[in-house]
Amino acid sequence: MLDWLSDNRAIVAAIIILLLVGAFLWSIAYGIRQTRLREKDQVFGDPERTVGGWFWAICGVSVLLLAWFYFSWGVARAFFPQAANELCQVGKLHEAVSPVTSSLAIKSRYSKSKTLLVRNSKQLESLRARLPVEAFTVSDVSRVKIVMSNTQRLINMMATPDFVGAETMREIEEVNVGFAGITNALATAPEQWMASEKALAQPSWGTSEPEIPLLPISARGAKFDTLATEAAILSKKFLRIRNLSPPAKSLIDETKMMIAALKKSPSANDKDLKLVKARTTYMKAVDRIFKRIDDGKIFPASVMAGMQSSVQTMLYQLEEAKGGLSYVETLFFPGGDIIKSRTQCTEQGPGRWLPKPTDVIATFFALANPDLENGGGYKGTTLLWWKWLPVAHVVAILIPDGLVDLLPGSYGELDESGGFQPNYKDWMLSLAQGDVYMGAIPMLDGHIWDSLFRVLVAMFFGITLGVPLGIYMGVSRFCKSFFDPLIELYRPVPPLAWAPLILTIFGIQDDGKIFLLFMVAFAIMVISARTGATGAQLSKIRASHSLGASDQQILRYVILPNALPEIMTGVRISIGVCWGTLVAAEMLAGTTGVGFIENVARTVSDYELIWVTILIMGLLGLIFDLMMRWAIARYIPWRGKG
Amino acid sequence: MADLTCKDLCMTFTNQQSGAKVEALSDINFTLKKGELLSVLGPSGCGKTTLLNMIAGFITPTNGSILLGDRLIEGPGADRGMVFQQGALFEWLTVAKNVDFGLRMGGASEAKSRERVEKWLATVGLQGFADTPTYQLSGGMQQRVALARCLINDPEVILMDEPLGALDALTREKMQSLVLELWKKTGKTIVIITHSVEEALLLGERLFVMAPRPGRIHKEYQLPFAEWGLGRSLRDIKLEKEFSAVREEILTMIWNMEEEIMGGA
Repeated sequence: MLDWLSDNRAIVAAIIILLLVGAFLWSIAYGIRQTRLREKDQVFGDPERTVGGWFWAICGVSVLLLAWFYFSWGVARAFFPQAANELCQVGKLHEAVSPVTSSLAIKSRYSKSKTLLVRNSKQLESLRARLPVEAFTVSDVSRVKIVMSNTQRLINMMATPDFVGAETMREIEEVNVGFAGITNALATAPEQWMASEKALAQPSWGTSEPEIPLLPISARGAKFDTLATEAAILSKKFLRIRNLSPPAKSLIDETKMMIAALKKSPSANDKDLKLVKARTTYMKAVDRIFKRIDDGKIFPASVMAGMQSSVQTMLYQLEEAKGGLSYVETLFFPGGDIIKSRTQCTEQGPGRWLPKPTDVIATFFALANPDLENGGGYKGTTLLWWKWLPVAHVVAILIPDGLVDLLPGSYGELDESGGFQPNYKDWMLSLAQGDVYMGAIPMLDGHIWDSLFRVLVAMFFGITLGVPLGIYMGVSRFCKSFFDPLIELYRPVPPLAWAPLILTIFGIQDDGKIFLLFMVAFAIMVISARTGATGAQLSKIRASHSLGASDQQILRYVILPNALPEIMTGVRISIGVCWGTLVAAEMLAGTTGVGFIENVARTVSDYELIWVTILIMGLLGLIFDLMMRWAIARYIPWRGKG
Repeated sequence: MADLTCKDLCMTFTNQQSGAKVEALSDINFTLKKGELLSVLGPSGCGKTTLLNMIAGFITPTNGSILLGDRLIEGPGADRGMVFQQGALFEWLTVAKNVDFGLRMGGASEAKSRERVEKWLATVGLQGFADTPTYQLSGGMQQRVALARCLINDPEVILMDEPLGALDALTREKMQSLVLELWKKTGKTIVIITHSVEEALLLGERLFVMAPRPGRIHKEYQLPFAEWGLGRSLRDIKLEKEFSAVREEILTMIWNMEEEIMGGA
């Protein structure tokens, strides 16, 4: 089944996409009809206008999923594998000419020559202004000045057409002609061509990395592929061209020697280490500028004009030759261009960090597989499964070891024969330490359960301690004013700011995270219970006094139920905040939990896994909230109706 | 059951911040015999609610004393039942649980008191509503629950703070009859605070018209209309010449008081 799904991903994706489009269109039609039906009896601003409307939720979800499918680039290659392959060949051509385009003003505003000229002249000028005269002897100062003026002269010389040698001009022309040839070849229709067996045997979509087959599988693609090889040769040729006329060469040699001499030249002040250092640093800067231009890579603009136009024409012709491919590229490769790098063709843009929905689901099922031996789970823990939990472990948590010390009698001693007969106190100790087998109970297990467990335990303590305190703060001036500063001082601090401290104190095990979450839940529960308790209507309190209720009874039977809606809202908020904090806390430390998975996935850039964890967190958060909403509606139906 | 006596009752409120003192009530003296129906009327700010709260024990008078029989009132208690303007029901409980709240707080079990709850619900005209959540009831029905909740406790005095003020005219009239009916049936001492002159006349065997600044009893009436109302339609009584004469007299009196306040302010 899974294999079939994997092999037919394209069809599965197509069906899902069609269903999504259908759901999208249907929900819009249905929504408009509903709106028309109701607009007559609901004026703008009527709160009833926002009630219900699940069809718009379907619309929103289908838009979201369609956008995901669209931008995660699975669609294009699933349904246009040939186009992707041809675009890969185009990418090869682009890659081949990139050394030439990068030195021309084609994808940048300035040509490389212009950039070099402007930047180096500017740097020379600033260097000249801060010449450390005291670090050089008088004669050396004048020599340094000559070196710098030579460098400037060299730059100017290279940028002047008169100094370009005939040989260089010929080489440039050769490259121009080569590009014109490619332009012509691009303009002609591709010949009949048969794909090689090797090309046809390339793995198809989604089954391997690299995902776009490199070898051409169509005539058009083959043409691009051949031309790319030619262009690569031309580029190599271009890279070998040097603009070094004889006068420039002699100037370079002369300056080179001067720099070498200056670097060595001992000065009168060479005892002063500071001055020596200043001289060395300065000469290094001068040499650096010189070396940047002595390879003859600056060309006059007029000389390169021909190449600029021939390459531009070629690129234009390439766009023409793509024909219908351009539409496919714009519409179905929304992420951006397909780029050929050294070993593979990849699509740039969101394709890199937005995995295909199908891959995300596949990753999720791999993660959810409880069979740890066969690659299921993550880092030795299942996602959500069950295990046998020894009862003794639970008992060990409930009975502190210290309690056994308080029992009468003493622990057993070693006897004469060197044996050890444990007495009842030893037995109690092993009970408290969880060493007595008392059977096992089935228990949930896995990353999700670990995360849930932390939240639930923290919520339990947060509610059982926070609600009573909050209620007392709501009815007692002492409690309110005594605890208010304590809680209000720690509450506004973001939980993550506490995390390093708490994790240091309690360790990276569960207790640290649980305490951190407890702090979050506790503050929210105290505040909501307090708000609820102070919100009791005076007449209700007076009525219960007149009915003969005692203070404790009023607290239990009037103030507490009256505060219940606020408390439930507090639970809802704190579950959400705890969940958010937990994931962040697990990212800081720990070996299990959903946040832990994401943290590891981040370090290895496993985007499928990152998305899976994000979706798990989102869905669990949503489930919590829906459960709380349901519980509120079910158990406190009087909310807001008092 | 015993008489309710107020002796030299004074109440002065002190503003916490400014220390300014307001004399809300001064020298209130009256004795209410067991089973009497008293209505208290007066312009706003004359201290009628303060008086009621003192009798209920929610606030302590600065001077003077309130006695129920020979017992000094020092705090709220189940012997003085209270009915508020808007029910003050516990919306998280059903009608039955609201009604037997006092009994349960006294330690009675729910099953034991169920019979009494049914009886009182029948008396106030709410048969079959025992298990309805109170937030689903209309204003008039909520007030009936509040009456039943108060009566089931068998208090010696029933204090009503504008109990029918939030109801519509029709419901109000029905409730007025109900109050009279309950008064006759139970023979309780009842104090009703109201700002409606007609209601005060209809529901007052005795009537205090109070005056403000400081709050005091301005005039006292003994009225026959409550007795009449036990057997006749309240609307008929309102048409009687005698009724309208007293009504006009009181209205003029209150009108003048208001004028005085406005003029003095």
